[in-house]
Amino acid sequence: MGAETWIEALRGSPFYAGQITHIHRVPARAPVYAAEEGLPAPLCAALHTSGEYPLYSHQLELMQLAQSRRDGVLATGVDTGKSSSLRLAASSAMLGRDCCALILCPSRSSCLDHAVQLEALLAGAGLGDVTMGAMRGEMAAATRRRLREEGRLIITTPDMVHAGLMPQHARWQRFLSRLDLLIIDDLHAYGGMFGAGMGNLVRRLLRVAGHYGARPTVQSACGPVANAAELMEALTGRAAHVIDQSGAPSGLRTFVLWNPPIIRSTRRKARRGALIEAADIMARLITAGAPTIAFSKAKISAELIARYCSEELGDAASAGSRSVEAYRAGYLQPERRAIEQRLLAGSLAGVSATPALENGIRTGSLAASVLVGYPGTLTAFLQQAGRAGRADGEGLCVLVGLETPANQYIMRHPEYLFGRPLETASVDPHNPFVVMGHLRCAAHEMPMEQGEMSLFGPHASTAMAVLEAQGKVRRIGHSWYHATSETPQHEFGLRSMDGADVPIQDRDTGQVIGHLNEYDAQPLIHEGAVYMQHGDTYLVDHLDLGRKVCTVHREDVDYYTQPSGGTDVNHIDHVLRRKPMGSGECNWGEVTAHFDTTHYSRIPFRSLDAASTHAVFTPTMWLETMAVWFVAPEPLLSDVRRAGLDVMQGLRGIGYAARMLLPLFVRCDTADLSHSVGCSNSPWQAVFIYERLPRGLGYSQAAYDRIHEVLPAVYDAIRKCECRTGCPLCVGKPLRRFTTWNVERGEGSVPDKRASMAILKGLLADHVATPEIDNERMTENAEAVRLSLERELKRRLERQREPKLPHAIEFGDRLERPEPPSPAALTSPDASTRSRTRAGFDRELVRRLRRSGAAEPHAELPGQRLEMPAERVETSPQTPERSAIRAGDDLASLARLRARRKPEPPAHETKETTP
Amino acid sequence: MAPTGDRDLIRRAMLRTHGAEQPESDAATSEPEPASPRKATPAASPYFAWNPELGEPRQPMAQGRRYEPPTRSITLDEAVRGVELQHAKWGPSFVRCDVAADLGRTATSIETLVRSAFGDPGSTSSRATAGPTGRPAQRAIFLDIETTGLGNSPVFLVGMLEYDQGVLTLNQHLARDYSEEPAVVAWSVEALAGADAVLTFNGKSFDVPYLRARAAATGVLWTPPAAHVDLLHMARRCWADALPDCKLQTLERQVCGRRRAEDIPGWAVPDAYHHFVRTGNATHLERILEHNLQDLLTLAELAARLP
Repeated sequence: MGAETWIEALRGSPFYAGQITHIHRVPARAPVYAAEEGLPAPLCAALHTSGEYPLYSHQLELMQLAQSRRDGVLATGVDTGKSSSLRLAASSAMLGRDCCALILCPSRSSCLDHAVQLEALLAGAGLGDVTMGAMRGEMAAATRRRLREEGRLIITTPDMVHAGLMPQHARWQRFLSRLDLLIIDDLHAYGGMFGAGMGNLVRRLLRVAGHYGARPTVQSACGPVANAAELMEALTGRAAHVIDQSGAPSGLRTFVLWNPPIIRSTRRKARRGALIEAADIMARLITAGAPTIAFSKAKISAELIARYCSEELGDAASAGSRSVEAYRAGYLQPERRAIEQRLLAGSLAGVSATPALENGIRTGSLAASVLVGYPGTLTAFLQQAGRAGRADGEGLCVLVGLETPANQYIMRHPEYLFGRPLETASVDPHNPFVVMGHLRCAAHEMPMEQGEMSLFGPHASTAMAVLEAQGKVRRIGHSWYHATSETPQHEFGLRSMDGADVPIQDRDTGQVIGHLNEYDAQPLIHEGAVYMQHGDTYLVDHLDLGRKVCTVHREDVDYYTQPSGGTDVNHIDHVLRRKPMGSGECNWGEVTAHFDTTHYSRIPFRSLDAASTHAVFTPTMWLETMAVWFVAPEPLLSDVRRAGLDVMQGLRGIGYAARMLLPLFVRCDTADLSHSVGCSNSPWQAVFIYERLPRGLGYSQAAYDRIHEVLPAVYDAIRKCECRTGCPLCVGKPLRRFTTWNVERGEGSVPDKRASMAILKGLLADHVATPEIDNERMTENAEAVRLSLERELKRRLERQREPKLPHAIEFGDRLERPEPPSPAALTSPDASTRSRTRAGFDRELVRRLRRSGAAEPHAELPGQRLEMPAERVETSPQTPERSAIRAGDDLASLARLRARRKPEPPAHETKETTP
Repeated sequence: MAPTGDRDLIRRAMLRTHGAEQPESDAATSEPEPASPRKATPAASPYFAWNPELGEPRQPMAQGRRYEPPTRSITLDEAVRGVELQHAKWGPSFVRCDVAADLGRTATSIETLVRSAFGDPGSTSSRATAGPTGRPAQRAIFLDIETTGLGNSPVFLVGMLEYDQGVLTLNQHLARDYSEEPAVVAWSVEALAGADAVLTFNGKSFDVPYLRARAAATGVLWTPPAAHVDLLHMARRCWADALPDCKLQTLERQVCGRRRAEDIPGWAVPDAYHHFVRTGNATHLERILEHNLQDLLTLAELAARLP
């Protein structure tokens, strides 16, 4: 059976309506086996028993590098047995001398996977007495002590090394002094801020190991990126030998681009739902005999695909016997193991996973993969597609397009995927903000010598001077010493979001069925939400974020829930960089955003429409993050306004389109970004694109650097969109109520595409004058740049003292935001509520105008045109119908009322308009 | 099992005379502390009764648990009588060295108590009962350290109360700034290695492993002490039933019947030391040294009073 058969099966299915837009084939590749002589005999035996014999050429090459004590990085592409090569290198190191090895994996699940497989490998090689294990935060103290005192092979995450091992390094003296091999798996996963932290951590680790007399070799495996050697050097500070000739075989790989058909004439949700489409494809492929893995972005969507697919296949409804399972973060360890074992044994025909597990999962022999939506990077795309397809068989990957600009762009331009070089992984380990934190840690671990400063890059001395001025370190002689009673390793983590887990407890059985990160918990498992596990539905009874526990109970419902909330930039904390851009300017800096979950919708399975909407009351969260924002010049906006276009809508449209297209330029996901217009201390027309992660991951900085490419592309995308006045594919959806909802700015409708285009055209100075200019770089000398960096670092240090992660706050008065709605108001028809509020707004406007005296009511206002004739406002007598606007009135009756609307007497005004 | 063997264990560790019979001296009869409002009365409970009058600890700096720097300013030389030591390899450090006679009435009375409890190893009678090895009683060191923070932060003060030839001598090795830590660690490791027994309170899990880790981190060669006795476990066996907890300060109040007048709380010690390094103001450092000394004296008294 081959990919052709499966594609024919898809074409012949009842739901096929010409969805396949492109087919791309990658030819098969023959294996290159390694010569036997280089392989130590015990390992040879172990490989024979595990069926991995013979080795491919690159696997032996890495092992030989390790034996000759040279640094190496394996960059042989997806599905070439990279992780198993690393395990072999570790085991071969264990064979000879009495040395230790440390394996770092980016996720806990892949740590455990390594541990399980290494144990088998070592046992097979007669090395069963080597003390090894995965070190986790939640492990028993006795096990940890055993690992510390006897362990020779330790598998852990960089976070554990940072917060657990490094502050206590002297207790790890035995391990560190014999550390011979440092292995880093999934090198490509260390991107952005996480990578910068990792780079500094590895330098710290090597420095401390050097103190104990060890000089470990570094071996790593890197996923598909264009610059593995560069990445390795950035992360470890060492030049490594790159092995990029793969000896692993590969069958024919077929990629299919699949665009769901248009089934409605509405402007949004016109296409068939991608999840349903993916589940159908998956079911069809499984029926045709191809075990399939589906990747989708969210936990809930992974569950939905699993559920739909097993319904399609007519499965028994009990968990554990289905032929399709969901597999995502948050499942308990034994459950995951069980799913993996069933996959390996072949009793599971399909699995629906989230991309968090694209590296860690052991898939066995899957034949096809279904990707819901472009994952944002080519690396991730290939990595996910590479999970399926055996070495000796054919593999199929179906990419189902979502209804977003980026996805639709790819559906129209397949060359974006297949004709393009891989992304370069961008990691800046010398980012001064990251370096400063790690310098504190380094000084805490051991006094920093003057000569060691070069390890941490060119900004280290500036950062150290700031730390010294703030009393965090003290210079004595030629060394800097840690000078506070804090433990700096515990003050910040390597990743931005490392909150505690909230266990989810079944009310009826008392069992913990899963867990969620506390920052995910609020939108996903608030009271009334449906929590899905193994495709089953649980209703959430109670979420207590204080005690970090959530209770649910099993109940079969025919809907899932979709949270809605809003987020906006609240204020700018600090402008870090600023440059002119076209006719306006562009900024990058720190901002504080807030976000809250205000209501949720119940959506019946297999439909895209909310059956009902319910309010939910959760505390507002602050988020300190980074943003890029651009400001169009005021005269341009006046011109646009004079042309009769709505400026606010135009700005919002630009923000949306820029945010949705940014993943094509920066390694990020649209879900990591948000956009908003204006904030309390910015120009009103500033368009913010900010990161939804605490302190940011460097995306906004990259966006700032490439803004001169991004905005022209945004202009092109909007211009070339097929719609006439704007649609969800270019300038945005009509925002739901309460998602950054603001009547005054005309939100709540699809933004006007023409306004967006007019503003962009003017901002880009008719699309010609967008050179890359950074005036700080050009006009200021080195000393000025250093001084400004020093100022920014100080600010960073101050900010670190403040609460670090999203935290609940007590809101005083909501200035720009409406009161939380009552549940009854939410269920009433949208149009009437809008009309009511709109009427109130108009009244308020008239009142303000009259109070200000001079202004005529029909005078032009930002983004708003007054609809009633001025003379009637001034002269008509008061009539009793004036207050007749009620809930339930539709737009037509509102228009009637407006026509009769009369000005109010001053006494009434104050009463009615005061909130 | 009768806990009366505890002091014997200590004595054996000190004398290295395993199996040698030593005359049992009763701590209650040789009680030298006239100021004690309530004596340890083994009759009341198995070993002791809780005295509510000596209950709650006084924590003058505990408000909001925020360290407040001192208002008065004195230098180290004014505050502490000590000398600078010069280690051949690790450079200078500071030591305060005093015999019990110079440390006040409490210290001298504790010296008497310890001498009566363990006998005077220097006297001829003790030499006679020194056991099969024929070695005279050697040095025992009571150890307590102060650190600059949690985790693996540097240690800045190693207090050692040495009992040798029937005399108690105090040695407090102090790092006047962070760079003197290696010398402090080196001096104390050498002293501990030369002793026959090291006595600590919770030292099995804290003081000794900590010092060992700091030796590793600073590069000082670690020599383990010949014998190590942790009084916490013995104290727990004796007094855990009668007391709410077995903290050293609780034992000091309830068993030894002493209270501290102006003590610096343990949590403020690191911040106080960092303040001293930053400003050179030794007001609180003096209190830290005093705090350390009190801990050591209590340690010695407890060792003597263990039944």
